[in-house]
Amino acid sequence: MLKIENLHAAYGGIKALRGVSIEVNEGEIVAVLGSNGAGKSTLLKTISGVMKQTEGSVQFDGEEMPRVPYQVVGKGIVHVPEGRQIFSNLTVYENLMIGSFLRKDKAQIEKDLIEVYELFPRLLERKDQYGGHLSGGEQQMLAVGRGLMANPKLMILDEPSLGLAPLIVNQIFEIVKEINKRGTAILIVEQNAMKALKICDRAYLMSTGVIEKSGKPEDLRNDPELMKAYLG
Amino acid sequence: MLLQQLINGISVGGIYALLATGYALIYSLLGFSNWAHGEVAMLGAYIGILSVTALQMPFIFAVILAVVGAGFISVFNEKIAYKRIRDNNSPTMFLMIAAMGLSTTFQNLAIVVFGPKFKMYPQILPVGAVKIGSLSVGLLDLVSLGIAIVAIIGLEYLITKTKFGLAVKAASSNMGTASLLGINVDKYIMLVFFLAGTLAGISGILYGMKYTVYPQLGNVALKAFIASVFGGLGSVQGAIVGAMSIGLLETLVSAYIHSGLRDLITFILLIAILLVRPTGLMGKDIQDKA
Ligand SMILES: Nc1ncnc2c1ncn2[C@@H]1O[C@H](COP(=O)(O)OP(=O)(O)OP(=O)(O)O)[C@@H](O)[C@H]1O
Ligand SMILES: [Mg+2]
Repeated sequence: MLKIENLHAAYGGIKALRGVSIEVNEGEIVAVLGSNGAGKSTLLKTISGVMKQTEGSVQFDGEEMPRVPYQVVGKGIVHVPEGRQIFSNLTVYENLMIGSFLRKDKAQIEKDLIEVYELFPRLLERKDQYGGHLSGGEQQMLAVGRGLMANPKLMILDEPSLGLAPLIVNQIFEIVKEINKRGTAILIVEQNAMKALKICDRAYLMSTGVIEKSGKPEDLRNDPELMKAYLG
Repeated sequence: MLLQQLINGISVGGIYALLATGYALIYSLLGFSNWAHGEVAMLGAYIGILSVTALQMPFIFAVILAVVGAGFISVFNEKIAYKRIRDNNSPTMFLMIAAMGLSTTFQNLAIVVFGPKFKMYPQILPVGAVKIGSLSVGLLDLVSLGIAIVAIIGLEYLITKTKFGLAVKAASSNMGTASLLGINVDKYIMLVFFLAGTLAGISGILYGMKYTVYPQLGNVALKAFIASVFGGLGSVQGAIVGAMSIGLLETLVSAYIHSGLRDLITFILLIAILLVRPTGLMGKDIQDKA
């Protein structure tokens, strides 16, 4: 469904992507792994139109993606950004409503809201609290829940485990799996490679703006050289 | 007598509030002090007065023209100056400097085009006062207060109950993420400038009718600014409370102490607030957790 070919992007003189090609198929969980500064976030930002590529294409269901973020989400791709980016002066409920901002199907929005509260009971308990008053883990849940409210065909997640305790990380990964089971394809960027390899169908290894390797998680895990280089 | 002064005070406060709420909305969204906001009110007041006197328009059409015109002038400022500065990723300080430039430009243009003289709105409402028991309140003050209340309730409704309000609050909290979730941030910024401009236009007309219209009328925005700081910068409710407080304070100082001390006391209040309670009465301090 998502097909990225030969993507180049730069911050001024810094070339952050140098010819990246990846694919995500219907129903998959795909991971992009790599160390700090590899260009993972830049890749996601280019998919969602926050960054404009200098070369290459981003196609979704055979259609070139618009290069304006607020139009990309309407096409069925939602980007859950690095660092959660909660609306701190909006309540949990209002944060979730922003997720469904472009949708008109009121009845379905109600159902999706109930589903998000089922996945994250904590959010229901705190629905009237300000986003800024949630703990880090709760904020990450809210960021994912808010993304779900857009009813995406593909959810792209930027380091959802960042700065969270192991127990919460496991929870978040379980929920990502569950979201995928319910029919949403996932593209996840992670530094926590072991965890990501446990849930994904395929993975790409990235360093300094290029994809170095790709494959099934079991193959990557069994490659001792890679294990040393990427997975610590 | 006191009750009369109080009504007079909140009526003036209402005029300030119309200006202060728009100022606060822009501040909450873009984080800068829009010094040109008062000039939008001034130009609105001129459009109104000239439509009635020079063009002989019926008053109600003149008002509509002035209010919509002020809205467009406000959007014009955003389009020609502020948006470009944002697109260049320039420091926020540049926005404020541009606003000061626009403010001075409009003031001087007004002097050149309309002349430096004070202009009086023609008598639309019958002069005189409404008697309620032993109270006698100026008709204009009552009407003015009524209009301000209706406009402010409308604004509150827009912000707290509609999708427009939700989008504006989200954009003011985190523009990047708002746009990731489907909000066309530039469009909402433009709408906020329009809305703030129309409120300023109403304020300018009411101010012009109560006093006179002159090129420096926009300096009244300083009161709106103080109101906004008093209530909590960027908070719309705070701006309303602040504006009402300042309207009352000024009226009471003029009536019972000395009218010459009016502005002095208002500014002392500003400095006191900045020193004692910099977040204002209703300022928020919800921070993002890392
Ligand atoms: N706003 C920016 N301005 C300039 N350079 C940037 C900017 N953002 C990222 N870069 C540079 O682009 C490169 C890729 O950064 P990116 O954020 O995509 O890495 P990442 O793989 O997401 O890293 P991390 O795991 O630390 O989040 C880095 O060299 C980084 O320094
Ligand atoms: Mg990153």
